[in-house]
Amino acid sequence: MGKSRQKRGQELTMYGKISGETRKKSQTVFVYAGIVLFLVFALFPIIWILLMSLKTDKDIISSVPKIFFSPTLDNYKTLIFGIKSAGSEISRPDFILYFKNSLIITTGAVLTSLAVGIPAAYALARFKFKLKEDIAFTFLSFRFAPEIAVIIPIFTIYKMLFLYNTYIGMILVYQLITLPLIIWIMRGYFEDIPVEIEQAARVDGYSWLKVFSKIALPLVKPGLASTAILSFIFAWNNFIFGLVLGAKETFPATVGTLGFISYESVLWGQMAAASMITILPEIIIAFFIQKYLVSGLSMGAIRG
Amino acid sequence: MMLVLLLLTGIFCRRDSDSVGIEAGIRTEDGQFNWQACKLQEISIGLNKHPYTESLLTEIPKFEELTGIKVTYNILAEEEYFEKLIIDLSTGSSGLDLFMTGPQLSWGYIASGWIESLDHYFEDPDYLPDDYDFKDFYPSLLRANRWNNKPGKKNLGLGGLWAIPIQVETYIIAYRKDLASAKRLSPPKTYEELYGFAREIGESEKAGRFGIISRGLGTWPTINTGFITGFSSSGCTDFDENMKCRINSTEAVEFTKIWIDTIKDFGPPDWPNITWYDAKQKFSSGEYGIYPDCDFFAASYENPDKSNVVGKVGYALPPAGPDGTRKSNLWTWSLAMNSHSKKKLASWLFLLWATSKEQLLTSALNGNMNPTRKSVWESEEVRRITDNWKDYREVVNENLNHYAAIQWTPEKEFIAVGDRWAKALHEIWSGKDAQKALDKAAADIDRIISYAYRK
Amino acid sequence: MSSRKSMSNKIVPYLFILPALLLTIGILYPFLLSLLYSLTDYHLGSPVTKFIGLSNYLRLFGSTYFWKSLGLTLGFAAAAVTVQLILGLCGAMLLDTDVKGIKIARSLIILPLMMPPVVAALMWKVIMAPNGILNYLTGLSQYSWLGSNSTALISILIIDTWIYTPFVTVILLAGLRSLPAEPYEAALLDGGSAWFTFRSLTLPMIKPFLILAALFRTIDSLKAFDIIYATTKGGPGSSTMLLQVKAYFESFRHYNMGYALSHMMILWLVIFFISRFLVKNWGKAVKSAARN
Repeated sequence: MGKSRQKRGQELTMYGKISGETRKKSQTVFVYAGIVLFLVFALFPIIWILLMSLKTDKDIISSVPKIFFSPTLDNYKTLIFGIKSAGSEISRPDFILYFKNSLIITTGAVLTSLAVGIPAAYALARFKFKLKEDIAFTFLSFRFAPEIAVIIPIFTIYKMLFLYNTYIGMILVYQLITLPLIIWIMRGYFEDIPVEIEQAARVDGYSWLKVFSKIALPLVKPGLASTAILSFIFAWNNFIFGLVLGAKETFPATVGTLGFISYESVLWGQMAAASMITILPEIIIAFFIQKYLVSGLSMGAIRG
Repeated sequence: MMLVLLLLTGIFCRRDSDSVGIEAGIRTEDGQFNWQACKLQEISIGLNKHPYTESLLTEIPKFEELTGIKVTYNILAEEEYFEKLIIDLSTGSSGLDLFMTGPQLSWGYIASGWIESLDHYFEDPDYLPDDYDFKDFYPSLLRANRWNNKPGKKNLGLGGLWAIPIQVETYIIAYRKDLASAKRLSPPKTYEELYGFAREIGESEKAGRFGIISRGLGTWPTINTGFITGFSSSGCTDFDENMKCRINSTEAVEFTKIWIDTIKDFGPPDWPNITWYDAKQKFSSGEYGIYPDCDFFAASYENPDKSNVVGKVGYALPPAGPDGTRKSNLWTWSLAMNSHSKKKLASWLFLLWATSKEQLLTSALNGNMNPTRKSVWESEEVRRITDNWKDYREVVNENLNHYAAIQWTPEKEFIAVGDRWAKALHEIWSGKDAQKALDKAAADIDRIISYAYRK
Repeated sequence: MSSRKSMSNKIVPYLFILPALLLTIGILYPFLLSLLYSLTDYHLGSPVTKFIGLSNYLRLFGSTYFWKSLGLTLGFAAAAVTVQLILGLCGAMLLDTDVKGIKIARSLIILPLMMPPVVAALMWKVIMAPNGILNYLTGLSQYSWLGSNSTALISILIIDTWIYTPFVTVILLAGLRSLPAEPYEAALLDGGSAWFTFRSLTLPMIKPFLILAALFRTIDSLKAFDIIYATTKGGPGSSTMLLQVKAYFESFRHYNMGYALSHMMILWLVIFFISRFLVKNWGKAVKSAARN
């Protein structure tokens, strides 16, 4: 029922029948050109950073950008194993700790937001109750809070409650980033599931919880995946909460990367290598979820 | 219900370790200095990324063995370090027992009551190990760390000792001796000469080499090094005795004009974004002919792994003002104690150890320049290092002994004042009239000061 | 077309909402505290904090620096959202086709978003340096993108666009792929041009997604901080001194927490009203899209 229409929906894209058969050659070239342009703009800096991570510091600071050079894995070695190689300072392998912190904090934050936000999103989508839109807007308003506005009170409160420099403290504060995204986007997905299925289940005697968990939830799985990855990315990339509310034990990788601005010089090579390592989890997760990322984001393809 | 929830989470979280260790007397019965007086306590130190920090980290296990005190440290890059330090200290918590700071920044902390005065420790002979040799420190550096919390130049050097210096830097000029001799140039002796020197030594843009490099962010460090050195040499002052801002006096405007003109005409096109490490790097890569800034950057210039200009750099005293006066600013990284620390004795022990002759010598050999103890500066090992740096030792000696002092007027709004001043330099660099820009800055600064010291 | 009956029930919705609400209350407290602080002379160095009413705000409204900062913030956000929506839509439309290799393109396009803004900004600083690769490629000799008053904010805009356009693209692409087939089939039979199809069919139907993307991008660009912190720190002069950057200077550098928080409350109000406006339009757009 729903699935086959979804499939059909995918073939008949915005360009109507342009998929494959009737598309004119010039249009294909145009499309390819556009995509290449976008990709070049998007990927060029990343490739440049990748190259930087394989250069020695001396190559990096040379006044004319060096496109040809002899690559080295020293930056990665120093980062991961703390091996002091020629020219680099004694860099303690703290970066691995920071990376681990990012993993724990971000995953924890996203999972918490999913656990807390998905039921809320469902409620907002399905039920009519007093103050519904106001509450919905309040959830969104987390996002409004400029970080600096709340960070000092949170710092003071955290110190009082012993939440400063703890994983739980960080996970809690990261809700500011992940929760609104999850609630609002998931709300849209829930709203697009036809109500009849659930109504039928209710008639059959299913409790709300069962309807929610056994029927609604599986139907939004693709949307769930994409929302999760988006919120993961935003949480992973946060900087200021980690800096102010954490210390060495809980600094995320973003704070760690800035730490390569040392007394001597910017350790560009290590910073580039650290950046590459930092975006790795995001890439891995996105890779696994990618088939859901776009095709799964087809909200409303199931229309009754 | 929320509170219960939060309290519960509190149980599962890391606690600030409160000391359970012993606090015995600092002298044993037979009068020996008792390094074990605070066995089993824990202290926490805030450190900036710096050669001193690097060498300290490798040596800390020795301290832990000597005293039985456990040390945890938090290291951040400079900018983030200072910001986090303010946040940490401002909550009045005892999170950090010791931290690195510098005189100019300490003024704000002192006025806020965050630093412990060290005088009563130093003045009590029981509290000093016999071989500490307090007099070994350069008096001018100790003086730089004294302040009585009253605004005004005459108050610098009076009052309590707030921190122990572990590094000192003065401001000299580093220039490309090879290029200069090829053009038969001698290092500039005045700031007019600096302009000419920068012009001569820089070739056209296309050759990729410019004349002068200088740090340029819109924050106080931009003023702190070469600028205020020349500023003071030219007979100018930031505040007069009545704490009125004088950065817009006639002489001040004149000097500022020459300085900015030199940078504008022969300096980097992105000057407002240049940090000190950018500038150092650019000079080391050979792109620039002269860099009036920290003396100890010589360590980088002469390091073949990092520099393209090894052996080509000459060092000279900063230029003198129009009437021949020469002054240099200085900065000393120093260790201070948190006034809210609950482990003051343990922290004191660390301070003593970290500023002892051996530790400071070790750190100097690991790149922490310049030493603050006479014995270390004059030692064989340090001599051997600086001998490789041509006229470095001579120049620094002279600067340190005759010309270097803190040129700022101590007051508690140092950062706000410095930042505002640097912004004015930006405006002048972008083309705004110097007198107008400095007048406005002076007015803003007057307002900052009067608000800060309102009754 | 699809019936969207809402079900009414008394307690169940509140149960579903409860955990999220608890967190909301948790955040409310620090926020209210900040509001309170903005009415005091809270100074990081001073142990005594006095209530001074609206003094901070009066000082704020009388300060040319504030108005300049506010103007920069609003202008930056407007420009950023506009540029990113347009580019994002183009990207989404391109990715909505089924050319060979499109799946790879779709996964690659999101890469910039994965870069933490502080890191991306640092890297772009190198790229935009006078002797950096950007000038090398564009043939400009030694031009300082981030160091000139006139182009500093534009350069920040470029970096922001680079990072966040993929976000817009992803949301719009999802929207595009969810569009129903029938209207297009009908339009094709009627012989409409691509532009006509776009203007009268696509645009109205993806309006909800456009607004959603605009909503999040507006909120985030009004709060812009990370990129500026890592590159120009508000300079040169104050040409990139957006509100949150200014607040950071006032609080963490100059100790004036009370005054800084008044900036942030104003920023919050701006974000609040603009978001409210957008959300109302989002609701309307969803309803009208459903009607199609």
